[in-house]
Amino acid sequence: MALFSDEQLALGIQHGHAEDLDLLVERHYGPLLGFLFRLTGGDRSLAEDLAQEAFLHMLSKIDTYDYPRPLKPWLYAIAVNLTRDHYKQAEFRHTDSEAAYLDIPIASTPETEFLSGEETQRAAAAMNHIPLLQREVILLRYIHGLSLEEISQVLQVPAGTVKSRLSLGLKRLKERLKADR
Amino acid sequence: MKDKELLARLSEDTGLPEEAEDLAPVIRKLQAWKAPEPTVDETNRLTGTLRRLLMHRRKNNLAYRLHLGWLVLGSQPRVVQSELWAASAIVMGLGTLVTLAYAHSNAIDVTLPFVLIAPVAAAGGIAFLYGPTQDPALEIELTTPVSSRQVLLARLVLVFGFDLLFGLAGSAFLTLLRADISFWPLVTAWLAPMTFLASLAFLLMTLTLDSTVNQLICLGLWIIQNSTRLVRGIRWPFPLPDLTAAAARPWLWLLAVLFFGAALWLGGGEEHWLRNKA
Repeated sequence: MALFSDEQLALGIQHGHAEDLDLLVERHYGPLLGFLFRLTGGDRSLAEDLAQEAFLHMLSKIDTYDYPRPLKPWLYAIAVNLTRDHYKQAEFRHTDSEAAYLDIPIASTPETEFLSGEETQRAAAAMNHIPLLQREVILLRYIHGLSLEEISQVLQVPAGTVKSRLSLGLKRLKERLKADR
Repeated sequence: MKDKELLARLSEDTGLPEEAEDLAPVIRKLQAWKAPEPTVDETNRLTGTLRRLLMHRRKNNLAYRLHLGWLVLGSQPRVVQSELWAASAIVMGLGTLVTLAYAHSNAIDVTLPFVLIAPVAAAGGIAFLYGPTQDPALEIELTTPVSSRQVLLARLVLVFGFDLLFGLAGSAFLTLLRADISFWPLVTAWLAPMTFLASLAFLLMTLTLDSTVNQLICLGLWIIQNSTRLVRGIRWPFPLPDLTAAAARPWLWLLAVLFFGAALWLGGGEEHWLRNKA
């Protein structure tokens, strides 16, 4: 068990303790980078930019943090919103629809360095073809192990919406993998 | 995530155990998708950037500044020369005793010895507040994140507060023991001159950086100013304003604010002390 919880570290950061900031980064930078790497379809440099941006954003808003509100969902919420903003801006340059970015597949091919086998490569490629909203919930639920309630906090939607996105996303993922065979 | 846990999650999410069995291999493939780990250099770069941002925020954070101010205030009693506290207490105590023994009944508060002594005690303390000759650790202090202005202000608050406390205690003591003295008129009689003389000593400290010269100037000015009251029959070729008169008080307050402000402004720069020490 960690000596200090994330929430206690956040409180320390509010009081200006740099050591608490170091601990929090050490604890969450890797997993957050992993989440963003998969969310962006295996784009490492974009994931790094977004992860760093998420920490900077969290620090700039640390005064608004209310102890003992769970910190991890807040950090991931920031990361998800930054990712959405990135795709929104990218897509808005090409279409007139502001919501279109939520449904588009990711153009990039996952970096093969991190794909151990052909099956995994296919699964990663299939993930890139399902909409961002569903990709978020699948990754948070099955790769990063968040509960429905935590995902609901991250995405700021009801648990029912999380479940319906999960159901739809899994269905599409399965169909996509079948179609690729 | 173990197989059993994954199946339980999938069953909960889809509502169908058979569907969960079907989806589990798909999720397993996804879980095999490794992600890059940040290197030590990347982590250090990020923490470095965040630390700089935190430092910047700390400097601009009111609560942090108040906390820092409190820390500076708490650290200064050990640094200020111990003789200074004793000297102020002795002078104030003597002033109280002399006033108590002062035989003049129906005395007007402004002419009481305590009214003449309290300003001198405060100015004397503040004359020895800071500066190269009084502060052996000046160079070390100048390298800390706390500015000279903050240190100056902290010491001023402490020493002036100490004298103020003794002044109030002495006044309360006199009021209790002498029926012809009222507390509030006595306090108002010494408070404005004391603040004025202390502010003058504070300003002179930043200009002369010599505590002895500073104290002599303040003491001399106060003696000259009160000479007609202290020595019978003395006459000056020029008129002297009566700084203990009630009419002078608003001017004394105004001048005190100006002197304190000017001293903090002049004495705030580190280079000011270094240049003068050199």
